Amino acid sequence: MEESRSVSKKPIHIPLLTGGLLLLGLYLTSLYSYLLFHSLAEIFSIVIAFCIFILAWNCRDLIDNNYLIFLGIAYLFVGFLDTIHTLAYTGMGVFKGYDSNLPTQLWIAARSLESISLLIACFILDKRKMKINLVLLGYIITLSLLFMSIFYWKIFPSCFIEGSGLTPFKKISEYIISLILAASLLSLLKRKEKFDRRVLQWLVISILLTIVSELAFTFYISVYGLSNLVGHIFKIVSFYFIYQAIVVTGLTKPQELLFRNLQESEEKFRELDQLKSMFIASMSHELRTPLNSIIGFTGIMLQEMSGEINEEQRKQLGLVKNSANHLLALINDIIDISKIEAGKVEITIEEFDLSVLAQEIKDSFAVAVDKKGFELSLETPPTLIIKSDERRTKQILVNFISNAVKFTDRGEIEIKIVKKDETVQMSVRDTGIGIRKEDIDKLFKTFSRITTKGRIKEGTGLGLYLSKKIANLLGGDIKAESEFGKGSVFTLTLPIKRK
Amino acid sequence: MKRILVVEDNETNMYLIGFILRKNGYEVIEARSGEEGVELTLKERPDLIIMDIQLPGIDGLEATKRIRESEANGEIPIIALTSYAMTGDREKSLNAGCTGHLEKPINPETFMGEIEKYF
Repeated sequence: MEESRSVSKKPIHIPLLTGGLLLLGLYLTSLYSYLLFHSLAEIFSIVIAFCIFILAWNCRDLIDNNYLIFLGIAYLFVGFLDTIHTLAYTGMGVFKGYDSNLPTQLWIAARSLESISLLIACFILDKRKMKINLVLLGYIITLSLLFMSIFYWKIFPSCFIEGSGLTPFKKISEYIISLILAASLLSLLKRKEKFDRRVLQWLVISILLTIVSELAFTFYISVYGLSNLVGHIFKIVSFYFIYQAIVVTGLTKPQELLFRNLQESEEKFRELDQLKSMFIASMSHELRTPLNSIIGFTGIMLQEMSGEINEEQRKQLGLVKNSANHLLALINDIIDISKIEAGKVEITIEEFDLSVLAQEIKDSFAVAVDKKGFELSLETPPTLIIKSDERRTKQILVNFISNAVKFTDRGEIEIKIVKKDETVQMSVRDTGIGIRKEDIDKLFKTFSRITTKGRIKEGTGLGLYLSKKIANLLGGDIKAESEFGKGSVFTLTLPIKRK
Repeated sequence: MKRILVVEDNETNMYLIGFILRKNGYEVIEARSGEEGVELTLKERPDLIIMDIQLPGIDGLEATKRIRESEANGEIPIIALTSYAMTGDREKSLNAGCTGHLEKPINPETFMGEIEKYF
């Protein structure tokens, strides 16, 4: 928005000054040669007319306004008529055997086409869809008929008679054209809600100037007279304002609109993303409810609270319990991830003894390690008070150690806690299968489970991704180093005092 | 025989908790809503309350507050049962006046140990 605002609020005195000087220069040429002035003036307005067309034509998909597209097409033909008018002007010598009547006829033809187009444009505005091909065809036929009636059939009424000046037809025509323009102005104002305020201003100014220009043309006696000069200058300015209206609508506005749409869709996307995360969070919550009873009753039966069970049943119930616990871990990870992604995760920062926590975690793995028959050691200062989220720190360390246990068959697992400046480093080293260099980056992505021949291990594939996210939330980070076949080291670094 | 009031709206959970408690020799009083929980506390004066936090009507936190404010006194241990999805619940339930906090799902192997700590 800022961008476009600055575009539309550029200082206008420089272009105004340039335009004024240009028109002054144009006037000065008339002192030297009126023909030069007329040719330049007409070329100016013709260039603008063609610019109007080119702009409107190429921006027609961006301009959500039939009025301006229609005008854009109309000005191509108006400009074409004006070109012939310029070439036919007294003194040009292009059309042999014609006098000042010809350029005046062409002028009237061009102005009629312009004013009627301005009026039709208002009605086109009411239509939802405009058939551009039909409009083009209509203009080609109209233009051909006008040329035929002037050059071939010669039935176009006389407009100028050498010696006596303008004919009543020409004068009446100019008044009628002025009336049509006034009507088009009224119809335009009736539909003002369909235009941007600025665009409407340009259009109104343009039509008013065209009317002034028309009235000036009813006064002149000579095609080289003063009122003719004034009329031409007003015409240039009026064309310029139509051009402005199309620039604003076709170029500036669509950009603003695009930018606004982009912002809106970005906002919508964010909302959706949050909604997704919240949906997953609440969905996961619902998924946990049935798990409560699966885990609970399996536990009851395994405890033989509801009667004795045989070995086979114990084994099978054990499998049910393991699967249920696995599912629970998966759901918990998903809840955590969706909460982190939705920015809804709560961390509780308080002081705790990391050494005590580490000892507790180590003890909780005693059974699992015993079963596999290797060593789990812990090296830590006797006490190490840190300020962080205890539960989250535990979650990450448990994730490291259970990974290590999972992928290690012999040797040892070493937990080492070292205080380093303002941080504490917790590393878990194993002598397991290790990770290939190219796979290390994949470790921290969701569901990226590195598979080694026959070693697809049970897991959620979310643990490390989640651990890294949490570590970042706590102001720390996770690092993985590994030598394939020899083992890995996972290190969690946390600030001693999380702010 | 010690009496434990269980406030839980989910029938399966109620059965599960009630089953474990009865097997371990407790008398179980059942309440299906926060309001009923408060009412039964005043009437029955149980030795311990297990309070689910997510309840229809007034939730477990509100029910705990009401019990703490009532003449049922502040001596009855109240153990909040919360779900993992609600991470801030530990503090919330302790602030509301709960004595302890247990996370669902219940593990029958450790459940009684956790409960008996609070007597």
